[in-house]
Amino acid sequence: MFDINVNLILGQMVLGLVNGVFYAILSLGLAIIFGLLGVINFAHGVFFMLGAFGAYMLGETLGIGYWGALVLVPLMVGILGIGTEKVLIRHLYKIEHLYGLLLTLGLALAAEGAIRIFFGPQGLPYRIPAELRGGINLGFMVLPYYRAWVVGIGIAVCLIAWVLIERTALGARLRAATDNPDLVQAFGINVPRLRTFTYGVGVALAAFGGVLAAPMAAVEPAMGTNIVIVAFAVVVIGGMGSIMGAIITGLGLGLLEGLAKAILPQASTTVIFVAMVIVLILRPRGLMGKMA
Amino acid sequence: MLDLHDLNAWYGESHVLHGISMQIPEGKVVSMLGRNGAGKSTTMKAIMGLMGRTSGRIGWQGVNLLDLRPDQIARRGIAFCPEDRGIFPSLSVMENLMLPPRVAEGGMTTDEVFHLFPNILERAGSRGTQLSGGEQQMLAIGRILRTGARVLLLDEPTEGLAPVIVQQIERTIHEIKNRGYTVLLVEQNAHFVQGLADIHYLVEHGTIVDRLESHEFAANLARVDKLLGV
Repeated sequence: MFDINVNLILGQMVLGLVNGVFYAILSLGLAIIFGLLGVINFAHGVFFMLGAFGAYMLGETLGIGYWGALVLVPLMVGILGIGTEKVLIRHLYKIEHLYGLLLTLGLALAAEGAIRIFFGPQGLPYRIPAELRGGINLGFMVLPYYRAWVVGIGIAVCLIAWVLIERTALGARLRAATDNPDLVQAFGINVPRLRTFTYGVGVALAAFGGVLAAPMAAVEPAMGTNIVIVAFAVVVIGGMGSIMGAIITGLGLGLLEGLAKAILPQASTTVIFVAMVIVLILRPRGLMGKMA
Repeated sequence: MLDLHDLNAWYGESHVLHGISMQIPEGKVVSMLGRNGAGKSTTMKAIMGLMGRTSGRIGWQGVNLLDLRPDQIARRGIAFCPEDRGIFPSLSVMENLMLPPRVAEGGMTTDEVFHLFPNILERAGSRGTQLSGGEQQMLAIGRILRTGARVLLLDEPTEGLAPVIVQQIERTIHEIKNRGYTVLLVEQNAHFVQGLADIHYLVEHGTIVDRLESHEFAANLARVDKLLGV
């Protein structure tokens, strides 16, 4: 049943870390949005997918390559997110979380359907930038430069986000508004604007992940739906609203998934959800979540 | 002058303020005295725009505060220190202190706040909720003194505190008064406000039942104590 091969395990764990970076980026955005807005943002995967499609479209229509897309697409999707928050999401703050989940799920299905109508269900190719083609021999595997780049930039972005939230005055406002938004607003801070900004940044992070993913996988309408389910599991395991919990759990579950692929491939797709069930039984608030 | 006229407020379907009218002149300390549930804290929340449904008028600098959002009210120089002190558990003492933005010139510097409350400086690196009740109260008051707001709403600042801390809070409010701040002080402790406030409003069942000048207060202390259930 088990065929232990150290090189295979190490190789799969490195690839798992690549997946873990995407889980961390997505769940970080979900955690920020849930923490301040109290919205379970099921549309998060759509913004990830729009990031990939945005990169594809910029390349096809304006000839803007990967590096330009990496900067421009998160900005564009962030602005789209700000519009979405102003028109739709802000009506959810005073009502139960369930309605937020239903609205954003509907939004996700509608947006995915619209993309499918325009681009078709099939995957579209997006080339790896010339500077990152090739790979490095690690002894136990050849690691493509592009995947190494994804790990490096992904972890850097997660850490920058953590520093901004935990070590700056803006982050202090975000954390305080998560605890007691009414009092923060009574101090003269425009909490509605803070929420709009947070939603925009959260979905811009998802779009950034989408651009990073575009050269690694086919750009297709369902790419966000598939990964956002895992990202939700990451947020639950890390602790709802916990920023560092989302980052560490995202990376850790990527490694766990890689390990499972090497040892028991048929369990690799379910191991994350088994971990979620175990954590929910033993520690319902998540590994790094606050007490309810 | 902060001028409340025929202020009504509701929690859901429950009508809790029934036509509160009172004036808080600039540079004066005004107390609101009443039992739990009389409507004192609700009045403060209404002034800060934190009540969902209200009617009447709260006049300040030519506008009706009931038309503004809480952040817009704060930006007009009104600061609120809630009954539970509102210390944020996820923030350090220093982050709690620095959280409210400056809304006007003339607020205390952090050094002045530390001079007023040396305990805060000693605990600056701690989490806000690791402080004692008295230290949390000092932090909550120090936090709004930084902002430059000239009208301070203090909701039961002595509640649950040891007598020595109550004395320190009393000295602080005297200091604030001497600096010309306008203070609305909600209390259940008549003896605490006796030497502090210039005007006293007695509140019962969501309405003002009496108004006393400071020189009238001593003569009416027994009646006030009875109203407070002491």
